[in-house]
Amino acid sequence: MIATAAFVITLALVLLGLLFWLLFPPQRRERPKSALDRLEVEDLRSLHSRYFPQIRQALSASDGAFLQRRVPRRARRVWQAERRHVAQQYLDGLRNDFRKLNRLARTVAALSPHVSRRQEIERFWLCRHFHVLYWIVGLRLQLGFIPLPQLASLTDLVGRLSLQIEAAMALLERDSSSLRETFTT
Amino acid sequence: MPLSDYLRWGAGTVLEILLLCLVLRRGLARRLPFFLLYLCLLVVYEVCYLPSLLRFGYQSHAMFAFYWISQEVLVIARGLVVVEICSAMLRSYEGIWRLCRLALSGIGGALIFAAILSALRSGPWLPAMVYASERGLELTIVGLLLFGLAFCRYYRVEPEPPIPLMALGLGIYSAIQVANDTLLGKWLYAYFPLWSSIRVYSFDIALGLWLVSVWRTLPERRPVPAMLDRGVYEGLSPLINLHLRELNSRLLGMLK
Repeated sequence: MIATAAFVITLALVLLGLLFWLLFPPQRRERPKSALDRLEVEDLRSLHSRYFPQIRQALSASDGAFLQRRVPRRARRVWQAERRHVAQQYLDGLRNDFRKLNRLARTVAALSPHVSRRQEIERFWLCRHFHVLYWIVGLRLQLGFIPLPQLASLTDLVGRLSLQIEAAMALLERDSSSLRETFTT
Repeated sequence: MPLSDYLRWGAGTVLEILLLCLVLRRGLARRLPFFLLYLCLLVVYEVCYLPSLLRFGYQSHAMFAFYWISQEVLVIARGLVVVEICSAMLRSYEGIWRLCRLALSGIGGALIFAAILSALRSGPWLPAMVYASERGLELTIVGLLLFGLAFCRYYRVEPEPPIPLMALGLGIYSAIQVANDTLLGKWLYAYFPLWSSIRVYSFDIALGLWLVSVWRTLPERRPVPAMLDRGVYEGLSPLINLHLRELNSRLLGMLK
């Protein structure tokens, strides 16, 4: 009986908590924005993937081979830890880029008269999958189980995506400016 | 019946009539017709409640039937209000509203089916079936409301006043009833006085929130957003999905 009561009350509290969280998220306290205002294309551009060449250089295996011959072990360890720290920060940056791109996709979907059910459901699950994988990769990176060159290959992919998205956004930018003009007039 | 119960009934009825008047005055009748219908049903129920109680007595079959039939009607009306709230939040966004409608139908259908099953399994004793069915319907209301709000949050659609407080009132009342009805089903008569008080107080909270939501003049409604060209979505969405798939497969490859 007590267990049932505890379970039911917990369930009700969880439902209420979810309700509050959905209705009054922290960012709601900011100035409310209309859907069109939220279409700030510049904000949505990915930034971290632009530093791909520098990061690839920083994570390359050749530096390691060079240091192995000339630097004591302790200094090498510090260097490795720093490298992993940079890699983790970069991985976080890539996640932010992806969040922005996903946000762009959702904003475009919200402002489209027709959306594909299949595309939306697929993106939803791909994003969930991405977040789980990102978390596991980050953990393994910290533990030193992932070779850094593999991360470099990931940045290559995001870099390519960024270029293609920018081309698509040029089209969107044109559309959103014409929409703004419609609104202001 | 003690004097305090008469006073509570009188105050509750007056507040419900006040809310009805405010809803009409704020011009919400056209925006939220089901909410207006729900309030009308509520006022009719309150007006009929006391005479029925005095005539039939608290423990009569007639009073049991009157009370529970009216509660089931009110819970169905509240369900319609929740769908209406989801529609009010999203109908300006044609594409995603079509998507949301489909999902709401599926979730609503599944939860109602579960409510019917739960009621049948609680039988054959009628009161237990009634409590179980009400709990199932209240759970349907919370489920639909949470899904609608989550959908809005996902697509970054901000509900306009007075929707948030109305939704909060509906959600609080239904979530508390889910717990309350479950405990009543377990402990029955021992729990009944507490169940009754919780029911009344949780409804008072909801009523207070609805009154606050329409007390002041509502801000001007946001303009309907202009839709983008169809090609923008068709060009961008598959591109992002394709790369996300590729990224996931690379991440997965790293873990092998």
